[in-house]
This record gives sequence, C-alpha cells and structure tokens, in this order.
Amino acid sequence: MSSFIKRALRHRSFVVGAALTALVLGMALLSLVWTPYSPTAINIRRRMAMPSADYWLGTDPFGRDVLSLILAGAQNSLTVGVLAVGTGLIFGSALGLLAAARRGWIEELVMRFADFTFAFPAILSAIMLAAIFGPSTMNSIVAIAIFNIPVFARVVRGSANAIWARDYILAARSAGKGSFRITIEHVLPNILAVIVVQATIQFALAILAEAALSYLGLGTQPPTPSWGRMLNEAQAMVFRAPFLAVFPGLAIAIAVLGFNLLGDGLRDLTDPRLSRQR
Amino acid sequence: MTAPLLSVRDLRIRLQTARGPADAVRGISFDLTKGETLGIVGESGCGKSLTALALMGLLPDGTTTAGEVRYGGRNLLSAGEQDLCKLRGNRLAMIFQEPMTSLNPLHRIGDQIAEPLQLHLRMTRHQARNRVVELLDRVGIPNPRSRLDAYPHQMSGGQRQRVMIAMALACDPDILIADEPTTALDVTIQGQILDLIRRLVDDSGMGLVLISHDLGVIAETVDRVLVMYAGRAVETGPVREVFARMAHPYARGLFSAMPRIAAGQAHPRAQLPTIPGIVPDLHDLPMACAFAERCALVEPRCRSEFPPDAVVGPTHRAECWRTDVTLRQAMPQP
Repeated sequence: MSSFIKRALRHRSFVVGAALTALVLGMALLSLVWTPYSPTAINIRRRMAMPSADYWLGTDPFGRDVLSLILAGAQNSLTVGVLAVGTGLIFGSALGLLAAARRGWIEELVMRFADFTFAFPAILSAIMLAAIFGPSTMNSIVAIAIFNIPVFARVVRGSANAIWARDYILAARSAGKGSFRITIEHVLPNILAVIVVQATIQFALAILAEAALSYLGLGTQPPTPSWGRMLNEAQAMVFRAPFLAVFPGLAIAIAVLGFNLLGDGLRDLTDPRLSRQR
Repeated sequence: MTAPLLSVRDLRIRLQTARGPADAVRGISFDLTKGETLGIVGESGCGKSLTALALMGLLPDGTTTAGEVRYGGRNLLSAGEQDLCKLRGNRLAMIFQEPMTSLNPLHRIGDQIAEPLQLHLRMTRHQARNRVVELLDRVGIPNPRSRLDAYPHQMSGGQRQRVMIAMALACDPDILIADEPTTALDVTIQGQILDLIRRLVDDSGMGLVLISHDLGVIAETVDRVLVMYAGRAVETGPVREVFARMAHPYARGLFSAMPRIAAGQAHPRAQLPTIPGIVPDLHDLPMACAFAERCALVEPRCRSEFPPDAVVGPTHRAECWRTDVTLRQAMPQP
C-alpha cells in the first residue's frame, strides 16, 4: 500500500487532479458552514460591483456576492454528481454483473438496452424529461443518472467477463459456489478499480451536464445557487461585466479538469500492466 | 465387485466453434470404484480436460453433451446447476493445472480453503479455521497456523498447489479430479505433489481421476490408464499391463517419444522418435480410425471402417485392427 502512495505522489496528473478535486470539495464543505455573505442575499445598491476587498469576485445584477454563490454552487454541483453517478453506478454495475454472470439472452438484453440508451443524445433527452416533469434539480439528477447506467453496465460487463474467464473462477465453481456468490466474492472485488476510475470520469461529465441543464434553465432553479445558471444570468451582461461569466466558468472548468485528471491518474495507477513498467 | 462410484458411459462432447461443431470427445466410457485411481493420458486437444470438466458439470457455454456420467444414482450431465453446486467441492472436487492463477489473488488462503467448509458443511468461521489448519498440515504446509492469513502471491507454486489440494479435500470428497496437477511445477516439486496425492487417495479411499500428458506421471501414480486420441479411448487397461504390452500404435508412439536419460549416458538419444503428422481436425473426423493417417501399420480397412475394441487382456482393450502385429513387436524403448 505504501508503494501505491509513493507511486501516486509521483504521478503528475493524479496529484494535480487530486488537488483540484480537493479544492472543489473544500469549497463545497466550506459553504456548508461559512460564506462571506449569504449567497441569496440581494443588495440592489451594490449590484454589479467590480471585484474589490469587500466583494472578492464582485457582485451580480441582483447585488449577490459572486464568491458566496460560487462556494454554494460547488455544493450543488457535487450533490448532483454524487447522486446521479451513484445511482447510475449502482444500477449499471448490477446490470453489467448480471450480464456477465448469466450470459446468453440476459446479456444480450442488457447490452441492447445499453445501445438503445446510448442512441439518444443525452442532453436532448434530458430536455425532454424536463419538459415533461418540469425543470428541477431532482429531474436533472434523474436524467443524468439514466445516461450513466449504460456506461457502467458496459464497462462492468466487459471487465467482469474478463474475470469470469480466470482460472480462479473455475476453481471457485469447482468448489460448489453459485454464480451470485462468485459475482460478489470474486468478480466484484477484482473490478472495483475499474468502477472507481469510471465513476471519477463520469463525475466530471455529470458536473458538466448539470451546468449545461441549469444554463438552459432546465436544471437547478432559483434561488439555489448553481454554476450553470450563473453563466446563464451573466450572458446578458457579458460585455459590461465579463467577470460574471469568467468566475463560474472557471469553477466548472476546475471541477471538470480536476475529476478528469484524477480519473486518468487512478486508471494509470490501478492498471497492473502500467504499474509494472514504471 | 463393488458398484462403481462413478460410471461414465459413451460420453460425447461437441463444441461450437467459429468453424462449426467440433466433436472433441466421441464416446468415452469408464468406471471408477472407491479407492481406485484412473489416469487419462493424451496430447493437447485430445479431449482429456473436457472430459474432466464434464465430470464436474463445468463445461464452457455452448457445448453439448451426450451419454451418461452416473454418480450417486443420477446422471450428472442432465443435473441442474443447483444440484451440481451441492456436489462440487463437496462430493466431487477438482485440482487444476495452474496453481499460480487458480487462487483468487485478493483473498487470504485460509479463507479460500474455508469456503467449501462454510458452504457445504455449514461450519462457523471458527470451526472452519481449525479444520483448515488440519488440512494445511495434511498437505504438508509447514506452520499451517501462521500461513492462514497469507495471500497467494506470498507462496511458491508448489505451496499453492498444496493449498489447492487442501481446498479440494476440505469436504472429504468421494472423487478427486486432478487436471494436469503437476504440469506447471518443476520436476522436484512434481514428485512431491504426486506422492502427496497418491498418499491422500490411499488414506481416504476416494476415487482419483488424474489427467496428464506425461506417461511417467501416469505410470507412477495410477492403477488404470486410459489413453485418449482425438476424443476416443484408444487403449485402456491396468497400468502395469498397458506399460508391459502396449497394443495401440498411438500409445506405443507416445511411449517411445518420452525423453529419458539413462545411467552412464551423457545425453539422451540424439534424436527423439516422433509420431509423424498432426492431430486430425476435430471438425472433420473420418468415419474410421482417426490415427490412420499417422500410423506406420495402416492398412486399407483402417481408413474405411471403425477399428474394433480388441481384447488384449482381461480388462485391457485397444481400439485397433492391427493389435496382432503390435503385440508381436517388442515393447518400444523409451
């Protein structure tokens, strides 16, 4: 384990990714207990203030403090990411494991379902969902989760099939274990790394998707702070107050880059073929 | 004559391959009584490993079987997966060729051996642990208690194979199937593992099916031998008789192709005799002797008719037209 940490610390994209992820996580946690101002407090007299000592990142057209909004927005992005990716991971992995364990028509059915879901443009379908059920944070979570299911189902089924071909699975079967026990005790622990890596990358995509939906007005609704909606509100003022678009944009970029780099780093670090070369 | 533990009748296995169906096993029959040891020998692809997997009901997806594998009054080939799960690791156990990859790298060996005990005998973790210590001791692992928490990668190949054997023996099975158990081990360890298997079989009275491509291993370990070629049992009999009077040209070829260093000789013979030709294509087997194309004694009827089951001794049979000739020849020198 200590050699894993040593290798991790030498892996540049892992270190940068972990630092950026920690920054976003820190922002979200900080906003739970403290923000410079209330992110929902409107102060018309101070509207559209440039960044200053009082308002580090300036204020928006309603006079809300941009720094406070960004800190609280991190909370929103992470919540959506955790719930959407978590749901997709649980259902998708279960389907993938089932497909690998049962093979035959069940595998065929699961994989065709995955193809079917992939065939829809994700954002368009999310817009459709929002149109039917009304725009809300919950509905954007559901929409993002649905499109995460086939991603995990495919990745998990592929890796699980590779594990099922191992000798120790045959040995476990010859010891009288049923396929459910083998899946839980032998297959799942051996593909956990793959799932974690995929989850990190999906997390970045989920944050981006949430921002996109909120930007389109279909995600998080006011007054809950959201990076995507901040971009939307900044759009009209982009020439008068460009900083209103720059800061939430930067926040989204940092979060997405952080999780992507972390995912890449984890993939390199958990891949035994790569680790032996290093 | 006691009733056989395991009775295999006309076992046939057909594989679905990209090039169409392949008949990998074409009518194998044998009996195994309590305490008896049977060796199945043949080259790669002759169907010996598939036969072993069929006995356990572990054939890969897409294979079809015919015939009977009768154990405990029922045909295992038609038994349901749940019934098979209850037998596997409990009454029927198997050891595999690759001890390096047959243990899950993520689990401690003590836990892996304990699994069949908890699964089949409903032992508690604590009871199972004590039994595992006994088992490890029985298979010759020194300081068994201290090895319980070791991971597979902390053990050598020979030790891992001992662990696999301990796992197979956990529930005192009736039948042990060993598929090339020593092939992946170096020669000194091979001998030790074979001795261990032999001793355990003698002590417990279970039946053993030992699969190997190595005639030397077979000769030293089992009572009866079955020589397989292209999915058929070309020669069967008590191991002493077969090694004294080999009747099938293929068995004789296999025997003389065995390298051996005699005392006082610096090198084995410069050139090892080989069997000419290649194994026939399983997709397109002749309706006649499958060995005919490679056989030195071939005559026209070998290519047109299936060979008879020629009687060589009371329980010694060879599937060949030319046993009259082969039996008059001197035994080939290995």
